Amino acid sequence: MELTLEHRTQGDVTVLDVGGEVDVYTAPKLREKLVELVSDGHYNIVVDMTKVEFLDSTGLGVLVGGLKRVRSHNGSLELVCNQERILKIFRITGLTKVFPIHDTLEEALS
Amino acid sequence: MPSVELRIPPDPAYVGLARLVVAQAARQAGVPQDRVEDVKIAVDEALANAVRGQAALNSSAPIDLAFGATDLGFEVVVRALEGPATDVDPADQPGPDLLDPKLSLTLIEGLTDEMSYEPDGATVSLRFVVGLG
Repeated sequence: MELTLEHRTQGDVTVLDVGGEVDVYTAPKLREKLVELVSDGHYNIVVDMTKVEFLDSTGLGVLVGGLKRVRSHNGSLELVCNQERILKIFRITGLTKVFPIHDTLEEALS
Repeated sequence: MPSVELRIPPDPAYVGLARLVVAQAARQAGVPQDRVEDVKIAVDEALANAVRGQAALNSSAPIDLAFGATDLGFEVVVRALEGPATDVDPADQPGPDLLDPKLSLTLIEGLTDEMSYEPDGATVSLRFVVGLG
């Protein structure tokens, strides 16, 4: 399955919808998108991972890179994820302590 | 020793295909569905590490997988040339996006019941087992 990436702005926040598989093959596209968003001045980003089917450590690395980039502009990067198989990856790697992770987009935006 | 063998080029484009093949084999062998997801991620991590290692060595040597049900459970062995596999990610260098270089191994260890990492001359074999039931 291909990676899909779409973004929109809601108030001060940019929502990046990610769908499909994020792995060693597709993660560079996610990285490019995050770099592009930050370069364009989007410093408060919510990555909606509700439609992500697969995520590996390459994808985690890209998300951490995105977090570092927005933080360098005093921004934020939060995640929306309610799938146990994806959340498990964040727990094993200890990244639940690094990223604010929300069950729903509404919760992330509130 | 696992009975099915698969050889792929050290190309990220083949990692997804290989993990789907191994996941289907795990399903057929009787691995519960939630653990099949663990197998998928563990295979992906092992292959991604191997692909990165070959890239760092500028090598086109193939990556060999062996997998299948054994006395221990569903067993997977990924064998490739040893390189600085866990240190370099061509997708992200020289950016700041890398985590702990041992992250892949941490994930494999966390998702499987048994894992070993065995250097053998110029190659290295990463082996893991997931229980069948």
